Amino acid sequence: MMNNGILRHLAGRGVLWWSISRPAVNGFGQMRLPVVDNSVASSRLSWSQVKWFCTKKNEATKEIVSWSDFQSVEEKSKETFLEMIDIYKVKERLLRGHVEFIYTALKYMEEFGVEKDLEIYKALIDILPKGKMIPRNMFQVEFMHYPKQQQCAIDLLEQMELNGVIPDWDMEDQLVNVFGRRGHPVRRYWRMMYWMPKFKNASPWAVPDSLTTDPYQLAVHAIERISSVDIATKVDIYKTVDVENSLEDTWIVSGQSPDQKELLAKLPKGTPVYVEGRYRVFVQRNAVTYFVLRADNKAQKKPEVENYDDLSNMYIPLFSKPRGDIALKPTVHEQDDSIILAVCCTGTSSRDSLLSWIRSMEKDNPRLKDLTVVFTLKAPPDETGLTEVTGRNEIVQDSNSKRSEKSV
Amino acid sequence: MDRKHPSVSTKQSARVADPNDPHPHPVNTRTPEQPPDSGASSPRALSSRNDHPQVNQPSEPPKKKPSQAKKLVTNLVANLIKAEQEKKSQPQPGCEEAAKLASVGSFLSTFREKAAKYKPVGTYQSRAIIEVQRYLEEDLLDDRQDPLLWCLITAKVPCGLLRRAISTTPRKDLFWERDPKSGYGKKIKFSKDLVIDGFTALKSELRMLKREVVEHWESDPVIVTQPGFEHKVWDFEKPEDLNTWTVTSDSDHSEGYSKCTLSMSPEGHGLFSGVLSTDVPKDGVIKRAGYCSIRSHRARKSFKRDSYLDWSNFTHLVIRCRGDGRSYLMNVATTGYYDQLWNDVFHYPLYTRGGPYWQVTTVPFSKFFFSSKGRIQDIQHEVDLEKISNFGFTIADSINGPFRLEIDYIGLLSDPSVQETFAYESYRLPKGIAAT
Repeated sequence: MMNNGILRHLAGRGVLWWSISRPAVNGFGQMRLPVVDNSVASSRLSWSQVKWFCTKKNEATKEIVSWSDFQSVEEKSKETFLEMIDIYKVKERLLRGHVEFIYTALKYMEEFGVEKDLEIYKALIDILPKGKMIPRNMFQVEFMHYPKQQQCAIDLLEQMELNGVIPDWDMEDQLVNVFGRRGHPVRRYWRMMYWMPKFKNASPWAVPDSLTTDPYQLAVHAIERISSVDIATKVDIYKTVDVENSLEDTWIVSGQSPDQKELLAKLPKGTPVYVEGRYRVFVQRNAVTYFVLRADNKAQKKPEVENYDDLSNMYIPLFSKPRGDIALKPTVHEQDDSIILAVCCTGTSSRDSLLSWIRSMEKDNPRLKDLTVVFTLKAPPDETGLTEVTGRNEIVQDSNSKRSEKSV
Repeated sequence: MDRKHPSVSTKQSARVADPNDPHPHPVNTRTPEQPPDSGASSPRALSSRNDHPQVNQPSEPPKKKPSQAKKLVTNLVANLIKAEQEKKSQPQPGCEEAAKLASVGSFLSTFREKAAKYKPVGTYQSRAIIEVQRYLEEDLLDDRQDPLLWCLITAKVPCGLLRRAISTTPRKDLFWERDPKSGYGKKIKFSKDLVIDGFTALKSELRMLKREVVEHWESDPVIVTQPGFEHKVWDFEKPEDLNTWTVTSDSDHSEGYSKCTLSMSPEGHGLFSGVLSTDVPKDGVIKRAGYCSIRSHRARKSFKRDSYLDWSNFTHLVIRCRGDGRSYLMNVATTGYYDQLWNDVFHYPLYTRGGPYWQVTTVPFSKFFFSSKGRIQDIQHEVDLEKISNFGFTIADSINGPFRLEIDYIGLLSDPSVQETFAYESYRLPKGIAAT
């Protein structure tokens, strides 16, 4: 356990082990004990599995770094990832091929689901030898002392940045111990520590990074986000089971403010109101489908544009006649050409669930019974509309409908 | 110079002697030194060379023939070099006097004498051997290629130089930018259409010039802006308004698979939409991908002269838009005169709410941070509002999927109560930490 590094050393001495998965979440880290057991003997992995990808040449593929070994791990989790790092450090006392090891590990972080975990990045930096690579004169500083190792650390930090992981102060100590205060990775670390916290809470519609991929929670977030224009908005949760003759069993997240209720109540009898959709809103990295209940905004007066430079026709409140063009300031829901009456997300985004939404809203908005509700849905709620979306970012709609089908 | 000429002439004459060459070159007539029998023997000899593409290989079956041919050609070339040299060494009447004049009283005269003594000249034979060897080492021309083209190239550049010019390794200019577009964009080829376009543009350019002259003589610039009033710079009321924007994505340069368009939305506003993809093309060069952006055309004066937008009377940027919840980037470019300043851009994120409601985002210019080629710079400074060259939006949030940003207008706002000039620390860093 000698070369287990400064972190483990500190942890062993009872220094706090803070792991901040991302300070943007709550501003506070969670205190954790070191997950990995120090006794390698109890590991689920063998040394050969670890050794292969770092030092030896794979005879079959002639590759120096065999990537198949990270894939060969059966249980891909944070624990096994840390275990592999531990085995490498214990067995490879001379740290042969540590740059290659780190690059390979960086490549497989996403697969193990640890790409946003600061603890893993710190464990990887801990592999680098301490003291040896600190430049001793200005020429060494300027000509990038140990360039491969420095570039490796820079790439590691870049991967952190791309995943939105803000480093902590321990990492500075780690990097300074490896590369000295003039090392390029240290400078990069300082830049990250300056800029990343500046923007972590800059968004006015910030949501926690630890957001679940639970469609229901995402839908609530989405509706709250859309209706943040009116802080009086109340988010209601309906169940389709409560509605008579409904075909599905799913949830409806609906957002409507008192202003919108008033606007709805004022609509003349028989006015057409439209249920429009599927629109898309992104919550963090997830797309959520929502629908709008709206009415045409024909009655709204266009305010006349007053020319303030024209002094010949100036309005003086004391002497002039009362103005005829005065009107109530329109609410935020009266947009350019339509009045937004409500927004919703449903578990299935199907027509039946939207019908249930209208039925559920009738309790609070009795006027809806007198209005003509027109469903103008652009596409039927199936997965074909979402085939163009590729990659790992899952569209919530898909998982939604699948889930509801199962539950039905 | 004396090395260039023989090499060129030998090549041409040898090439013409090739029986497979369908285009006999007129250079042949200009070489009277050529012995009459060599013309007959060399085609035979060279034809054997053409039968075997790899001449240099020693294990070729007809061993004697090439060596004989080589000898013959070498002799021929040696003769040529000799003739060329004699022609040169013949003193010309005007030159001699000039040389005399130059040598008298010049401190370089002794140097020249000595240099001439030590200059490696070699015999005609040895030089001919080198030339012929170099020619033989060159790869054979492709059958489908035009041999005339080869003559054209070799007539200009000697063989050795030609090899150096063709390189697959890209140049790495660390300190000097060759091109404002950093190598992107098409090379404009001269064509008839270009001339027609140039004359067509004359009308609008002259109209523009007229407006400039009138403006100059009126000399009534906007000095004071009313606080709190929005001044629209770009809006999207007519489809023609889209023409002042450039739309780019990584797929334009085969560096990714993102696609985007700028169009008019059904409600009659500008719509920047597309599909972002972070898939990296497997060419071994690109590490990351996924961006789409729009950028206004560069501010200019008539006859395509560069100019700048002057926003110094304003303090805020105002954007009325309707997004989809994703974050965009607002880019204010201040392209400078020198190559180091070509890529100066100031950024600030544009967070969108998403949903059916319009949002009006007001960002003070002090919040914009400085970067170049997408990298935040260590030494920060505020936007020079008198020197705005472009404005644009980028989306590169690495979320795969469609995006949609509806823009009503982009404007400016003046708020005298804002005292802040720059929101970020600009203290001096210790020496050697940042690029000082």
